[in-house]
Amino acid sequence: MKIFCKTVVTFFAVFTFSVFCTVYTFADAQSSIAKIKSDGFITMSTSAPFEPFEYLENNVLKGVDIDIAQKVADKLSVKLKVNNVSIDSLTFELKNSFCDFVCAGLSETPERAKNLDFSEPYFETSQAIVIAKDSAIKNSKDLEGKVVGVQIGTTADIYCSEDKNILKVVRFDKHVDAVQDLMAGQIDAVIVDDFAADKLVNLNKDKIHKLDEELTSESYSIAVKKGNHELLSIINDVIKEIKENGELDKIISKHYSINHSTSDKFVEYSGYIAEGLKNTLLMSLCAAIIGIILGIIIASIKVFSKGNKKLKIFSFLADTYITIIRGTPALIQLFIMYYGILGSFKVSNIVAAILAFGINSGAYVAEHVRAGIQSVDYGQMEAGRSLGLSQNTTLIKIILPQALKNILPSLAGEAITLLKETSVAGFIGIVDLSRAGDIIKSMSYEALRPLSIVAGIYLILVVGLTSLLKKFEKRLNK
Amino acid sequence: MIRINDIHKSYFINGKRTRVLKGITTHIKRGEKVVVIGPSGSGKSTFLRCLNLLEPPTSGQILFEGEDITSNKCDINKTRRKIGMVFQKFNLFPHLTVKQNIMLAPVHLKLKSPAEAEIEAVDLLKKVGLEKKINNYPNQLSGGQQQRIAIIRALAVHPEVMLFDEPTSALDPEMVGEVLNVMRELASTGMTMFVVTHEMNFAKEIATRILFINEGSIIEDKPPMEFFTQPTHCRVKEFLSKVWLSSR
Ligand SMILES: Nc1ncnc2c1ncn2[C@@H]1O[C@H](COP(=O)(O)OP(=O)(O)O)[C@@H](O)[C@H]1O
Ligand SMILES: [Mg+2]
Repeated sequence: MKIFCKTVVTFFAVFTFSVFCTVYTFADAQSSIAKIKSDGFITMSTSAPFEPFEYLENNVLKGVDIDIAQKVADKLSVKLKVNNVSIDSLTFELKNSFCDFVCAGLSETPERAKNLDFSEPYFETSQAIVIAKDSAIKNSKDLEGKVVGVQIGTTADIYCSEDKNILKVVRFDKHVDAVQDLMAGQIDAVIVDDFAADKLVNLNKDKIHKLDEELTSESYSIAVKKGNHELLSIINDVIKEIKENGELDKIISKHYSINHSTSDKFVEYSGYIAEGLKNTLLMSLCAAIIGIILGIIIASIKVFSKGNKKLKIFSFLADTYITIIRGTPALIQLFIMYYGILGSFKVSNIVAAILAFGINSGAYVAEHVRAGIQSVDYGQMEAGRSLGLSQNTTLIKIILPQALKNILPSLAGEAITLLKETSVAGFIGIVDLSRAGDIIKSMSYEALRPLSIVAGIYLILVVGLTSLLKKFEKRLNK
Repeated sequence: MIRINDIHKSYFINGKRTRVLKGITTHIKRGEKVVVIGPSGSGKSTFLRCLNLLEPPTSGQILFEGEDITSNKCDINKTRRKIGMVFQKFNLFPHLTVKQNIMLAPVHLKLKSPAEAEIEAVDLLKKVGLEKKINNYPNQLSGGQQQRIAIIRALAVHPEVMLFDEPTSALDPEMVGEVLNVMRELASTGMTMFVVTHEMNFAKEIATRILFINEGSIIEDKPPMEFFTQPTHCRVKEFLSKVWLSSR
């Protein structure tokens, strides 16, 4: 049993170590210029799609903000790395040094200014009201008692939240979703950046239009971590430079005039699906491996620490782990892993997702494996031990092979659950299969087709996996 | 070879104590064939399983070659290699072939290289006439064949003593003979044997000593001739008359 404890401790040590290994840089107090130069890259976080400032084209991030960020990187003669995250985690990314600066069409607000420092503005805009063609709303006063849609965390959100006359503010993940609801008659108006409003109206000329009134005038700036004056002054230099030499205007008009053709769209959409499929499979597979290993270890602890006082603590830990994991939603576990546990390290979101799903799946696998071990006749353990084999050896060579065979059907069920569970990975910015469907939905203003395709792919995966495991089971039973 | 000093064994079920072994003391000498007889539930299996610590005794001492195997300092895995065990229900490993069943322990304990272990497995199989079954799985064999494999699986780690817990009780009558033959053969090689059985003729034939256990105590300890002809205890007389009757 001593060896067994050692195995457990070693496993956790290796596990923790590998987590640290995936951390490519530790969070610094300040991301000094020297650090950026020695790394050879600078990291910018943004939140796409927000056309024309950031959008995906053939799976590559493009837009005004990306081009400006590139200018900053060029100025420092380093490479540019871009994180695409949800808009409400931008401040978090900066505060925790996930990135060096944020370029995401952000305007300075008192709330944001508490945590971030802002550059000179590079773009002036206002908020516009978008309404349905047949709407009676004429100006901002008519919004009284109405239901208004905004993109969560934007200036429009802040504006509407302060306007007590508005009946209800509906917050959407993306403004395109808000427009969808507007066209469906679910909400009365959408408040959105003037720039984006033009774009959205342009795509749906027959259904919606924009009011002339400018709600609040505002300007977009680049944000850095509070106190990072060194980087801020370089960014200000760059902005000043491109404003003066006319490059900024060129950048803006270039992205504003881009219109995707239909055939391009098809290629682009399938690119998302491919990327999503790849990530879904990668996460499921890696998490399944972690889950199986963890599950077997936890189950073994539970089975063999029973009635052994020295191992009571392990048994308690195993029970606690299983209770916590099974008692909380996978999405919250994912958030805790990404923002909480790994929050202070620059771990890629996919690694965080794999760990979170693996640890989640481990708890369920453990219960199956425990049932499997208990289903093996105790005489097998006695036979192994009577030959002089240790408990570990008997477990690995004799009990587990039989146990796993007995529980193969329930493990298959677990694998299927895991595959579908990875669909929440989109919440931390991973483009998995579900998120791919979601993105295509918001780009194409069409829900049924892309989502049916995604559902179909899941179905094929699940059916394929099931028949594969059935075949495997048959071979084992021969 | 094995000294058993006043071992007791109790089980606690729902807070209630059941005393199964109530102070057993005896000495098994090298080369002896000790046969244990007694009514069912009297503690025979428990006693036998205490000898290799599959059941640790609640109190008392078991000295194997002078070493107290009940103490924490003893490496029980090492001692168990010297004590082979054969179970009533064979307990072959169903996911492994006959060959793998036999080779697993010697190879894993690094007593032999896989090649050497395989040669010995074939040798042992020939001795019990089952070399043709080398690549079969246990569920493809009859009970008698499985039990013979179980015996040579135990022999493959070269034990110094062999424990048998009712090795023929789970067999159809026509298969009892083939297993007893293997045990006879083993007895003739000088192996120390400790056998729990209800086969009275077999006991008479191979035993050097017969122990009768009743309600957790040894109440008779005699050479076979004396045991069967002049038992002292009335429980033994009663038992013998019943078994002889039923076996006729
Ligand atoms: N693991 C156990 N837990 C509780 N009671 C047991 C256990 N093993 C055996 N016993 C009890 O101990 C007594 C003796 O069992 P056993 O040694 O198997 O008898 P025998 O082999 O002589 O038939 C029986 O009454 C049985 O119920
Ligand atoms: Mg018994």
